[in-house]
Amino acid sequence: MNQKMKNPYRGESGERDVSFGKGTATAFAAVFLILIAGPAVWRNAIELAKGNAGWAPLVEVFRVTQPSLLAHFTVFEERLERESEFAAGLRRGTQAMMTRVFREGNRRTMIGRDGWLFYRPALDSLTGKGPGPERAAVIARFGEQLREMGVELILVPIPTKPMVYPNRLGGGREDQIVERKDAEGFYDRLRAGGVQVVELTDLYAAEKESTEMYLKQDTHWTPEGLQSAAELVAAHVKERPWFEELEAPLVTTVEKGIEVENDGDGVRNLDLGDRTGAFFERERITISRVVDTRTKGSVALNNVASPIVLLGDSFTNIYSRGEMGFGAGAGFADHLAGRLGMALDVIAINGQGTTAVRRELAGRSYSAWLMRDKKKAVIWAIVERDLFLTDASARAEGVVWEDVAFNEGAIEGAPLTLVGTVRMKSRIPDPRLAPYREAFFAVEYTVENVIEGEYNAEVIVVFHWAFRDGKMSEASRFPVGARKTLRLVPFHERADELRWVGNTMNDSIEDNLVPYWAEGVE
Amino acid sequence: MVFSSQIFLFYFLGLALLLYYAAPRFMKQGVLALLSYVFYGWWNPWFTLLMLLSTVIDYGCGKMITGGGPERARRRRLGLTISVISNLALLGFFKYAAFATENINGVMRWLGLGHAELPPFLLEIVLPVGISFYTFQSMSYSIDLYRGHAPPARSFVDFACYVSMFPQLVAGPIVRYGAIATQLVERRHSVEGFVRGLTRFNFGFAKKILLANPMGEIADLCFDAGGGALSAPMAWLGVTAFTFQIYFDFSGYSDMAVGLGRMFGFRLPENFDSPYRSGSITEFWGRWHISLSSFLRDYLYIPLGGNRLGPGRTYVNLMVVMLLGGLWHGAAWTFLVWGGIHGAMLALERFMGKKPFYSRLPLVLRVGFTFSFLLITFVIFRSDSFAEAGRYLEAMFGSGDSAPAAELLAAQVLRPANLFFFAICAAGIWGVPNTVRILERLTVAKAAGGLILFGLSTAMMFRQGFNPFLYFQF
Repeated sequence: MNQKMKNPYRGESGERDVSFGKGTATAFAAVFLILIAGPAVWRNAIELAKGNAGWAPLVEVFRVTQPSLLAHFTVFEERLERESEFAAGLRRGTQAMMTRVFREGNRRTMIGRDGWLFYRPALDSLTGKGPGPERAAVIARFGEQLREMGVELILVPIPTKPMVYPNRLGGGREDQIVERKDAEGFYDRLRAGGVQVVELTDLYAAEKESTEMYLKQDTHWTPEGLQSAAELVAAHVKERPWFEELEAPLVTTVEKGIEVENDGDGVRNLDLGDRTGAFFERERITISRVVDTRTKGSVALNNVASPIVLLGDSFTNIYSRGEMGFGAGAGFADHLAGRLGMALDVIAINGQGTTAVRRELAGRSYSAWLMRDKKKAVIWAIVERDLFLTDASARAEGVVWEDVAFNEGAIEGAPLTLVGTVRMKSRIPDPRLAPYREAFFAVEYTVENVIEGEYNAEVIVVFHWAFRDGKMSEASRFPVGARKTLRLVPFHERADELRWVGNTMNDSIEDNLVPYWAEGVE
Repeated sequence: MVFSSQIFLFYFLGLALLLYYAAPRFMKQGVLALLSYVFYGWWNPWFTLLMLLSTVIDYGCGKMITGGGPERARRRRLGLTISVISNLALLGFFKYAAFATENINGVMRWLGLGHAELPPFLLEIVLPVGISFYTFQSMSYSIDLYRGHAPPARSFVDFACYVSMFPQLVAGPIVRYGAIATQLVERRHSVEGFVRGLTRFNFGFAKKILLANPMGEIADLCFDAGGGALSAPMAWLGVTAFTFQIYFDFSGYSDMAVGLGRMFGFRLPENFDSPYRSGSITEFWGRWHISLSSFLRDYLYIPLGGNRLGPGRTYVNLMVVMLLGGLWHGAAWTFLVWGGIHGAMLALERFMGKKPFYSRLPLVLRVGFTFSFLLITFVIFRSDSFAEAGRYLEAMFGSGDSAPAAELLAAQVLRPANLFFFAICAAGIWGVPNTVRILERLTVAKAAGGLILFGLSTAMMFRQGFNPFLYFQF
């Protein structure tokens, strides 16, 4: 065999020499090794010093707690990146430099003119290729599901900031509005499928001449922007033929001039850390709080009995829920409820206005019965960005578009007698303040023993009278931990006789179980 | 894991160097192989079994090829055949089964025959990272042994080290066994060589992070544009940015691979030589992804007859090589067509005496024409479909949109930072020597500059987030 060594392709171009000696080379090597090893050694030393409370990567990499090695590597690397103060410090410093020198944002926030900040996915939704055909189909199918239950779907696409203020990003005229070429066709397809679409673009184009419709440093609308939207949506709902038959017992006043200030989400997304104040002042705005004249508090927004459901995202939650940092009781749902004169059944989840909110609506016990019997319309207020991101971008943003199934609610083994221990109780309204003389509330029990009938779950939800004729019931005084023998019937057998009132459920009560009504308690 | 990540830079690399240099000489190959399996298994532990299978098969085939005894000639041919078929079968199954299934069903639908009852899992096969590279490397062992270009590996560990060596495992350069066989047996470790390696690594890291990634953002904006947003200037800017991105990404990775190899005492082959300075497509393919083009030349073009069987057969051979070369990049018709267009151009230049039809022009114009050809063909390469490529090319040649959304896209693309890095890229391609030339003579300033680039790139890497290399998908 020919053992001749052949290097059949062009070899290295010549390495002529290294101009320094071994000592200098050793120094360079040492510096490099310190650079690559130093951060890891430092971090692991600090974490090891914390003992059990620490998370030392060099130890944790061998502690496999995930079902597979791949999952372990993925989770490990994510945590390594996420909790690295070294990386965070470098990232913030570099971002500060890029912002100072180039007015450059990052993958979440783009810096426009005069400090205006824009959410990059919102821009992508305007300039990108748009969604696949399934997007409109999912919405249309949801509308069809609701229609079969006698409920109307009213879609309210909320324009994004770059649609309304493109000139504050780059070129363009002050009066310009940017819309996707295919947007109108998208909405027409939905209308043809029976979905009502209330577009806000023309309204915003007119109003922006005199009013700021969007926050400067935040993705969301201003209080004025949402109030205009609430006015338009309320006007649309009031024109529906069924609206006249509805009771509108809610009377509200508007408390104006409440000042709030906060860093916008555009600023937070830049992740400048301590250097934020050097670049951006906090955004100061004035909100208008909607007050229920009876309770003197905010409008009830979790009224399951309300004939109108509002599904939304962070645009619904901002100014409504204090956790977003821009005040409470002054959001889109509050103003819409005030204009409609009724409390609303609101399901709004930040960043999850596409499917999670529908899933929560459909996943309620007896949701199909609830929709058929109690609801007239579902208002679905969703930012246009989520409608027009490409399928790939939507997945990357965690925006999911899936069908949901309403719960017909199978009944298991009624009637029922069992022994249970009180785990949790929903809030009971003050009978002196409630606009009704009777109310019931929910109690979650741990099932100890089934005496009669069939029940398989460990937990059961039971509705009791909270008060009747203004007098508190015995059940309202059950302490947590109390052990009771309950004679129960499925709630739906009594639901028609009972009046639904607000706050009979709260978020912590399990809502995936078939609820029961307490006929007797010992 | 990728080179440009915290886990690699600040954990794996340091540990790998420590374990490698602490190991006695006779264990270094084994340690390096083990480290490489950990590196590869981080993507997906199951992938390591596949690579091990390929390694075992080819090592066994090597034994058959170099073994003595009766029927030696038949056994040599059998060993080579098994190696080539098994590697191509692995590559074909994991990379092309879904493509083949889709196309079979497409043809059957077109013929009105419904669809083939093929197992659904064929459409869900996960492509193991780097399979296109290590199967070619593994095959080259058998071929080089058969041709007598190299002695067999001393041991299975040596061979496993060659196949799995992490510096070049997932994105090349494709290191043929003949070029590295002696280094597996004996190589020199020196601190000067180590510094040369780390400096090369630092320069490559900077090319990836500081140049390729910003260009990738521009390219993504333009290629993902729709709904009336892509104007002609942005279309040209976008494809130019992609052309910059793919060069700095891939050559940066190759620099990092070569540098890492040098840190472990290996001298790996060069993969790029200023390809965008080429004055013809023939010249371009001598400067771009050199390890692949030379592999295809030596293992496909020449065995097919090369240019020895007349001009007609030469053109056919060129087309076959480039079509397969295109398909190697991905299981899609766009890659095949891209390769075919380059093959046609090579054939045309061969017909004109290995010169382009614009050979009489001054060098700067020849480079300009060649680069323009690359830009246009890269549109097909980058696009997900011919329809998308068609729309993009339409935008480039004048029917681009001028809707308000186009101004928004332009505002995103023409940011000061983007323009700055774009200018740096252009200067890096045409204005200064390439990394290999710059580092031919290593000075204190260059080594120090490399360390500074490492620091800057690390800082920028944390700002950019996850950034895999383009050629990982091939």
